[in-house]
Amino acid sequence: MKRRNFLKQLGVAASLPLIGHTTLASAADAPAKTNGSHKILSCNVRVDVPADAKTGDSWADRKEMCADIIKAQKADLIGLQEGQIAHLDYLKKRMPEYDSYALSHAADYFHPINAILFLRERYELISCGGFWLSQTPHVAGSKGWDTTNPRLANWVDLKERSSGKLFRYWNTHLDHRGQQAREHGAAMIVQASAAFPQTLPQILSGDMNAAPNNPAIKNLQDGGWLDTYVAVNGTKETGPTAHGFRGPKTDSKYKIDWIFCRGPVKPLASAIIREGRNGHYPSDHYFISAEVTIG
Amino acid sequence: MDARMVGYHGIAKNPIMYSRERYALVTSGGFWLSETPHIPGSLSWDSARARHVNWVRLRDRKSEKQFRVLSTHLDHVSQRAREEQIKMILAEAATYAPEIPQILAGDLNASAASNVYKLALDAGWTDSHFAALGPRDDGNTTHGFLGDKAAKTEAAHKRGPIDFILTRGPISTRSWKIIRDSRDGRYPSDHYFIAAQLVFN
Repeated sequence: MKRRNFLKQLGVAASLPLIGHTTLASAADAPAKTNGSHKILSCNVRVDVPADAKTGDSWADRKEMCADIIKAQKADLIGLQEGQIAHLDYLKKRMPEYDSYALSHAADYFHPINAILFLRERYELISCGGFWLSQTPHVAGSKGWDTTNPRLANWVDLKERSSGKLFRYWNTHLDHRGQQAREHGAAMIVQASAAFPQTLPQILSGDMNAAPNNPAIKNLQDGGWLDTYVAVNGTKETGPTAHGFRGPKTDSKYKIDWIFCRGPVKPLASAIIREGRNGHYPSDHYFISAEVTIG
Repeated sequence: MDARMVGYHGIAKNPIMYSRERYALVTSGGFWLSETPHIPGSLSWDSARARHVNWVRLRDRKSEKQFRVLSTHLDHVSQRAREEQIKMILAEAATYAPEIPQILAGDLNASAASNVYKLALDAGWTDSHFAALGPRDDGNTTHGFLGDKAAKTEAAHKRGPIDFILTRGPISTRSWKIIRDSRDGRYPSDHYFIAAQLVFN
């Protein structure tokens, strides 16, 4: 995209009127949080693909429902995967109480990848950053090993304003094809997170494109990351999280979206959010949530 | 942010400040100047300290123009480290289109005669000191809190500035200066600060 398109895109986003909407999903949909806990959502919101319009699942078709469902979860921290500027702009418009951070490609337009959203009122942003999952992690858009797309991990260091507690929240999306890339990408996140003392609470959400038996997941677990879902719900069969907009009709089998933690973080709850509306879904993935206490 | 979130521990933080009224933060990041740039506090090439670079991508609210500012501090001991560290910064910056203005501000712990500086210029960066209109000021930028007295006594003086503001892309330099302000014989730091007035074309 050339700069003028970028500017046009920005201009459009800036000039959009606030969109009136009705919140269809009520707050009661989300279970009440334990006092002082932090709720994390991992949402692969699916890139805007024109072909999805054929089944009524384009971003324009589903964005209102998507924002309703995410908003109703009353999360403190949200990790997006596949969100583009249009997704981020819309979700932030619907949920103005969140700030966001994401690295971008080196293009002359801002393409936020794996954006992190956090509640501004609850947390103070201390620092943020990210790196590309490649042999040149500092180089924007760089690709490593057998990856199909450039992949990255973002992090934010947040301080809970009320308690002064400091923690790090990570969000990533491992490659959908390259197994080497998934394993190395997971290992890089382990290396970077292990550079901090075990006393630092850390949370990692992501579409790992990896089922529980995948070596990439093993790398994370061996590297000290605990799966919040299994910690709370045990290892019973979960069903898939990626469903190709087909919901329960999907042939997919595996949970590939994850929320991990390390350090003094205690998982209290974790769920797969299978909510949809009239046979349509907010994305081709179910979102997942975790509720934790920190430190 | 490194493993020890409070205190100095030999790790300069290289923060970037910007006028929020004039600029909107588009995104930001940073990396460690080592063979493992994703690992906080990592060291390579005999670097005496863990070094890193921070960057911000800003949007001028008025003109809508986007540009990047990078802030770094290269190692003060290892020449090899300084060269490898600047190479990383140059390589990363080079992934952005030449039309995107970029500004690199830093204590390079190297003079204009150094290979570090040569690497930067060879990679297409311009030293705002040289690009500025008006007479040049080749004085030192480090003075060990001695100010004027350092000029005659310190070898540092002979090498001229080690603090730089380099530019890449469509940027012109209006002026460049060494800020030698002091108060009652005391200085705000053991370096003079430097200022460049830049225009995006």
